[in-house]
Amino acid sequence: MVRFGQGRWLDAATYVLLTVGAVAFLFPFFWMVATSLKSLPEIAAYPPTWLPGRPQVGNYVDALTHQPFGLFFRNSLIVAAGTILGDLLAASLVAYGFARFRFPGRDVLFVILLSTMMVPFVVRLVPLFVIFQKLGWVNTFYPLIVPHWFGTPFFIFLMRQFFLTIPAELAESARIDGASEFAIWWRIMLPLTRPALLVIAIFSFQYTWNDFLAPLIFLNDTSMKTVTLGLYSMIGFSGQESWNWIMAAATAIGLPVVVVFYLFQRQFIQGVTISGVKG
Amino acid sequence: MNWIDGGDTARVTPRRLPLKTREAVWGFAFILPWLLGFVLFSLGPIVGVFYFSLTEYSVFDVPRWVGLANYARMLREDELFWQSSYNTLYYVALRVPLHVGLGFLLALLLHRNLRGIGWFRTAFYLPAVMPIVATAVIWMWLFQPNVGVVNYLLELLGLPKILWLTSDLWAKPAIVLISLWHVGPIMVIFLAGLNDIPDHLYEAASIDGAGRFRRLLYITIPMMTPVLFFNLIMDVINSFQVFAFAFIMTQGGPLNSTLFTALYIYQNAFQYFEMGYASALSVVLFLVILGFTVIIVKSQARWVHYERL
Amino acid sequence: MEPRCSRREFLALAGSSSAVGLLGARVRSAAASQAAKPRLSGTVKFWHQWGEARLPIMEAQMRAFEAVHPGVKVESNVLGFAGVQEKHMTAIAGGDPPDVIMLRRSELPAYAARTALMSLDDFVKRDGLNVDEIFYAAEVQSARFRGRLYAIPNVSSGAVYLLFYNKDHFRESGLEPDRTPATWEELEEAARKTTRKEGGQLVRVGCNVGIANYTDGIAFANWLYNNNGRLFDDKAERVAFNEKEGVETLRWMVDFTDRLYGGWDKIVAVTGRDRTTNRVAWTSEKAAMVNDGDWLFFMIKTQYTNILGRYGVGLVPYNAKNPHAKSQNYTEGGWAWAIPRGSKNPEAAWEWVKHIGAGEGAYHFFKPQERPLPVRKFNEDPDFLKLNPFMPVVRQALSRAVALPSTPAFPKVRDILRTMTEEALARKKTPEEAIKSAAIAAQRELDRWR
Repeated sequence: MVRFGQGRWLDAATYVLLTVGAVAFLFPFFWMVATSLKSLPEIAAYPPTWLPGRPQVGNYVDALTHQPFGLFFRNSLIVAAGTILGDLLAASLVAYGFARFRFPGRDVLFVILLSTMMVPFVVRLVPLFVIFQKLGWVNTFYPLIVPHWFGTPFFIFLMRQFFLTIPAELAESARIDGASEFAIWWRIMLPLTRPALLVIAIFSFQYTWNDFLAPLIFLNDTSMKTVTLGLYSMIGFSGQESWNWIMAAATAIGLPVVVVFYLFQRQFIQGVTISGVKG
Repeated sequence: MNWIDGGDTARVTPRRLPLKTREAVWGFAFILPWLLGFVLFSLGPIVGVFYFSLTEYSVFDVPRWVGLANYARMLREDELFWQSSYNTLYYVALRVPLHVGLGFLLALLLHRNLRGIGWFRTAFYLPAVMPIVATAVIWMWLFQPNVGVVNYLLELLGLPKILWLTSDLWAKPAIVLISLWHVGPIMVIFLAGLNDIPDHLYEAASIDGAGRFRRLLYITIPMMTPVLFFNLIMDVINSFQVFAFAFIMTQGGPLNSTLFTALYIYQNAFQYFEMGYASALSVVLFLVILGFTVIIVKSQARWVHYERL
Repeated sequence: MEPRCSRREFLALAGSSSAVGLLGARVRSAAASQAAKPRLSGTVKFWHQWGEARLPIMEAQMRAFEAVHPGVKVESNVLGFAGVQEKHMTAIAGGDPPDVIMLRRSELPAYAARTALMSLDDFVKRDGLNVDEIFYAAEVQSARFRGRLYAIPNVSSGAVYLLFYNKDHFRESGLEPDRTPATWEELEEAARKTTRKEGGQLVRVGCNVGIANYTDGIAFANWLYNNNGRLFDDKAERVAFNEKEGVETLRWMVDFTDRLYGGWDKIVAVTGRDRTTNRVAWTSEKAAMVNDGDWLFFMIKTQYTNILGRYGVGLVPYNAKNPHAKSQNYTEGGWAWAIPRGSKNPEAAWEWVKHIGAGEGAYHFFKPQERPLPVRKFNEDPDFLKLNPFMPVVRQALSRAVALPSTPAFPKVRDILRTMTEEALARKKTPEEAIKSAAIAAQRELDRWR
């Protein structure tokens, strides 16, 4: 007989707990994909079948063409590209200002910046709508993109932490050569912060791809919709009956973020980590 | 910023500003985008929401000043205001401990250096990357009362079926349950916190004969309180804003049991055309969130340990 | 200006006795007069909710219209049924609205009171369009607000409620398959006989009379009008659903549900809480009867073919115990066409609204759907009768329907009534209590607009 030590038992218990938990966490994904491949009668069947009898790959074609999902993907990509670019530039610029220069009120301003992370979007919703309405920006991508060009507090914070780890001396020689501060930031600092920029790009992508409330309010035309709005309107359209189509669309719009997560897991975890611990 | 001009005065042109001022000017120049954005998209809207809350405004006309009428209506007449406040507090009270607790528990399990642990970490994090709309529709389907798989599993276990989102009793817990699926970020923050606890503390405790449980109680938990504090604040703020799940899955029903404040604000603003009243609701939500944040911050002296190592 | 031509077009349309002859005449006259009138031009940004199977039918109407008006392009944008109101409102407020929108008539006063819509009176007068003659009385009445016309009816609002039943379920339960339950008592008897239980579990329900969560109608209000009650007084200044008919109606809904199914929870497990899920219960034959609208004909034809040829349709049963009651719908939720304030091309928009709402566009849009429409004349087309044998029932429903007094408070009142119904059905409150508190809240909303 093998004698288990206390540690062994604990390991076994941990595995059991983790396995049960992971199965529960992954089951919805399995069910989503399985449903997306089922036929209508299979969906209505009770008890449900675990796997589709004959996988209906055509569901994906139907789901993604009965509304112009191609267009929605394009729109989401445009918004994502504009947002990411704005976030990268603004976060880096502003963070550099906070990290490398001394000026009166800097620390107070930085605290204010941190506290804006805590101002709920929904509280600002009505005035924001009024602002963009007055600007004539309703039903354009501007309300979704432009705010990011002024910097997202969380990314500024993340970037500043990163700048603080870069030795200040690196800028010295350039400065002696007469380079402007702006040139120093652009030519020397920006390339050095590539890892942090990657983290920001990933988060910015995830955020904007998944965003729902802002597109819901600011976009009107079908031709302007993002993928999340497309999925949302499927509920209204199909009377919640074509669950196979809805699940196919959910799979399709979830896939890009899942892939990005898979490819950049380390950076992902890094970003989340910095936000929590170093804060 | 500490280079010295080496006394080479010839190179200093008269129009050059003093060093300190120059640095400050550059500093402001760099943070200028954020300053503008702050005024336009944060400070401005906050001031705006206070102003609109004192008006009647449909966005088609100009705002009409009504003083505190919106607040009077909210507090005296509007049952749905109280109902939505109750729902929101219920959600926050149930969700925050479960979410933070589950995140901590998973982090403890995943912190152990076991084979294949990376896979488990991925599995628990993955749901959090799914768009909220996708999450909502997936769970609507899982929770279908008739043909839904969750009820089927309950039946297999010999348990009664539950009406989930179509029951005023179960809808809120169901939404809490769904929100736990996105435990990933909070779990990872805890994990990072666990990694930061120096090993020598545990070693010292082991030498003193402390068992696992005592080490958890006297080292891990106290050392983790700063992380817990951060997660708590962020989770409270986020939970107060619960919107999309109810908006997509229940539209606030059944029996207004999932009418959360954020949803009620949205309805008033964009379905009932009452921007002024929606703003008053927003102000109250803002103040409540602020109040909770202040309470948690004030309480940290009692329970958060900032150890200097 | 082109009043002359349009009037002639319309007279040609309305004057013909047979729809077939009428259509030929109209096309000819339109083509002939094309040269004489100042040409309409530009784009009509057209927002509607006719997606999926109805989209090609709508697109065909757009192309037909463009053929008659070569300078005009109708640009369609299909919205989902969810969140329509928000989209309209943000678009109109945003300053770049569509030229034609499709809105619910019950929500129309809320739009109009905020000056979000153009009044159509000038157009109607100029073109000599006699809307009161073209449409059923209640249909056009519900497109008005404070005496002004803001929309042209699209689908019929007075046929939002009809009783659909499964003939096989009737037959196997010993009921006459060609006889619709006409009164509340007959409905209950039919529901009792068609209900099936297995091992104490409901497997089929007779009829859920307690659906509360309608997006385009309120079951309580429907039953109320079939009990000779009303929601408001004629000017929508006072609530009236708290009178004795209202209490009687809500009590009946609750008692019916309790007597037959042992509570709301039990029936909700089969039919769900809202109209969509209740419809699915009926089409998947888990319910013998359903109180649904005239859109169901087309849905059965395209989606729920299992029911095809096996169902009957009747008017909504009324309370025979009330000597004044009769089967009678009220208008709520029927869609209509309107032109938002700020439309860049109102002339062309109006021409399109006229075409799709009152002209041949309406006829050709509804006929393939076998769906009755608010235009009297078209409903009397013998071709239509051949396609849809239930036409006489629907016509009856439409001509009997009464218009709901219009109030901008309606969207809020609707939500209040929904909560009230759910509270009573779920036994959170007695019907009397539920009505009492709902009446206070609803009166407050009405008062805001006095």
